[in-house]
Amino acid sequence: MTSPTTRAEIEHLFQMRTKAWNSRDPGGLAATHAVDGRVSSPIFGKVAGRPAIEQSYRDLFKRFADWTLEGEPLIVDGQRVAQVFQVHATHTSEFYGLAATGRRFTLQGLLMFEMAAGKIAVEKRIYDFSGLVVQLGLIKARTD
Amino acid sequence: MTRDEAVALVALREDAFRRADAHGLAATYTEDAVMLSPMFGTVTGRAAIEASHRRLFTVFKDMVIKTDPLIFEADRGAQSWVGHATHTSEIFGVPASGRPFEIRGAFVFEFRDGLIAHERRLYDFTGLLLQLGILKAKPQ
Repeated sequence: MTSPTTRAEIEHLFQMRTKAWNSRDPGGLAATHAVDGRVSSPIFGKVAGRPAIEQSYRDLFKRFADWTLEGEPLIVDGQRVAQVFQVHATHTSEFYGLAATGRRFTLQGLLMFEMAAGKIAVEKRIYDFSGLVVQLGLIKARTD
Repeated sequence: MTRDEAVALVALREDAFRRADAHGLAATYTEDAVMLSPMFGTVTGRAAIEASHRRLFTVFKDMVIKTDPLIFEADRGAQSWVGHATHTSEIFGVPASGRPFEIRGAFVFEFRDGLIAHERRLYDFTGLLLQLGILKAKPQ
């Protein structure tokens, strides 16, 4: 049985994530997930395993080349972690069949994590995905 | 505030939610609390927060929220949830549609003096409006 990840270790891991987010480094971000880690994402659905998670980050930075994520201070409760985030980005490549529009968007949401053996075992992302889709013009919202 | 106190407070909220008890929910906020909600905007003060919950339980009469365990540290907390309800009264000028919906989201809390001083609600609000037919998706 592995020992629980300490708060200091969690802080360190998330500092690595911040660096990887800032340099848009899929490998660096994927390295913070367990080999058998799972991600639940409105954009990517359920993603299982580090290679698939890395590919999802790669796809993210292709579609939104200037993706900038700002995370608020962590809420750490044992092996569970929550972090409010804001994203600013531009739609720079095909997304759900929609060619790059050059549209800018912002997004606020919550990331929830479960840690195991010093890595992220489970990540759940919560945000206004439909709002993102509308901001990109993938669907047009009308009220008539 | 201790973790146990925070867990007890959110348990009180869940119980009040089950009873659609707007007053009981409002009692879990400080007098000067601020709530940021996609649906209600910025709501300031316990009385206004109570009114927003009253409105919520009118618009979505059968609202049920299933919460996950609270994540808590140093007077801050986060809690994810899944909500189910039916659109039973006017909202944003659209009369009751009778449409059911499901929505996933999260509460982000800041606690003070044993109560909620600040709350942010994060969820797919646009998706909710689409499910209710208040907004209609028109593919490009």
